[in-house]
Amino acid sequence: MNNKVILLVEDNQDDEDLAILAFERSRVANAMVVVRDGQEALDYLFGTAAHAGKDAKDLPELVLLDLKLPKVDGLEVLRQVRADPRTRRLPVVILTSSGEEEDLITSYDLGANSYVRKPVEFARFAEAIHQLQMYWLVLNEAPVPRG
Amino acid sequence: MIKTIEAMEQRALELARSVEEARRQALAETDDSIETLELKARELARFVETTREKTLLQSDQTIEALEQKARDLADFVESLRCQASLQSDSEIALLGRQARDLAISVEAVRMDARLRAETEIALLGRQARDLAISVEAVRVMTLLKSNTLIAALRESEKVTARLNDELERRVLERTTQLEAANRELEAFAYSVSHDLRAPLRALDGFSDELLRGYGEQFDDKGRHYLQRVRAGTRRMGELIDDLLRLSRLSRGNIRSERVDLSGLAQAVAAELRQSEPDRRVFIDIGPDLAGEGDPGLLKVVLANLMGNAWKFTGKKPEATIVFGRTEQKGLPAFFVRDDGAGFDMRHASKLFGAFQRLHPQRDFPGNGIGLATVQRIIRRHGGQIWAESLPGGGATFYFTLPEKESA
Repeated sequence: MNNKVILLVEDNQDDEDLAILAFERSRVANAMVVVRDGQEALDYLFGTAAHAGKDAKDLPELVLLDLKLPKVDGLEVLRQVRADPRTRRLPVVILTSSGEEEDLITSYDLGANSYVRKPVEFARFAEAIHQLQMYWLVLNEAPVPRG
Repeated sequence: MIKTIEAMEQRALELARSVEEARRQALAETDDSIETLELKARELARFVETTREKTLLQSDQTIEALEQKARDLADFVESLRCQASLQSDSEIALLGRQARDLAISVEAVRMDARLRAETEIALLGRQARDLAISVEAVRVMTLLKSNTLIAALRESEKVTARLNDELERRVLERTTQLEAANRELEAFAYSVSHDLRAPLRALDGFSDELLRGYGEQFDDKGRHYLQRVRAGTRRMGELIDDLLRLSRLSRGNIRSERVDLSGLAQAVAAELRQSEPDRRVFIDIGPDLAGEGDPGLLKVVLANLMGNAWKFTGKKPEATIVFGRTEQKGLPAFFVRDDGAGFDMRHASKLFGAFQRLHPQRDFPGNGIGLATVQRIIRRHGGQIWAESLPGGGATFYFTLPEKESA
């Protein structure tokens, strides 16, 4: 299980640290890769630019994607991920502050697997992270063949 | 007489010239000169008339004098005849012929004088006519000028049309600005929802981690303060949520259908009882109350009004809450009445403002957003809301829901 990498796409340092804290609390120790804008997320997933040379087949087990991101926003990242056959089935969970109905609907329309609104209360956030991890990394059977 | 007529001619000529002059001026100048011209024309007409009268009078006088002379001559002839009754018939005949000639010449002079006077008068008349024609010409010119005026008027109409266009354009511009402002407001709400939350998460998350990971290094007081930080953070989070809900109310579309208000009130009452099962509150809900509106939003209205009634009767061992329908200000109005803490009507204006509260937080907790929300919902339905109360004497909130004209 430890080889399962989680990709966290998050530009806010606080939220990044809190997410890491929450993951630590849930005691499911997965390697966590953090990228801080939408372009870097795409580069990481497709093995381009700074991540050239990384095996594009070596995909994370789960992507936690914020919507409001520098350079390329979260919805565009999702669009490109779903448009590419290599990443089409990659589990992507939107993890955002936005409770806007439109963001929610657009995210699902673009093929998000889940939509989680970051609660203000850390205890609830930690619980949400724990649930996500349990579900996507333990219970869920991923459709992509492991490679 | 001839001299007088000549003088008149001269005067008429001068007048005509001055009229012509005025006419030329009028062509170049303002309406004032036309008025002067008309004045002069009237003056001339009066002058012609008086001259005519005078001339006729004068010629009549001349003729009368001639006739007198003829009569005198005839008398003289008669006296001669009487005196010289013995003189020869031939002399008498001669005198008679002379008298006849004289009569003829008198008649001729008379005719001539008449004729001359008539001619002069005719001439003056012609001049007056000419003058009238030139006045008319000036009038036509004036009309032309007024055509210019009309053209100017048309021009001003064009300007008005342009101004209207401009106005319309500005209305459109303003509408666009308002739409932009609205979009900005939405962006603001979005940013409130997204960006204001992030620091709160940090506050709550890190103070939670401090308590959990480093709690032993704080004493009780330190831990208490950290709890206070977290409570403040949560409260701020709730306020942001309330604010967002309020702003969404102004944005979304509202449905319109027949809503069973009695049923909604029953559901709200059940929720309230469930929240505090030990309280003794008699809730009286009128039967078959219905209104036109959005069921979800009207539920929010009743939940807030009845929730307030529930909250502000909380210090009483027994309380009564009534939801009913009555007539107020000549309109059918729904009301929620309680016998709780009430409020001072002097502060009623603050009642429906966002984040306005009439009671201290420690007495009755709340965000001061409920009635603002209720008012916004009622207004979006085209209704009105108002309240009556006495401190300690309970409160009654009235609201109206306009009925749709059944097509």
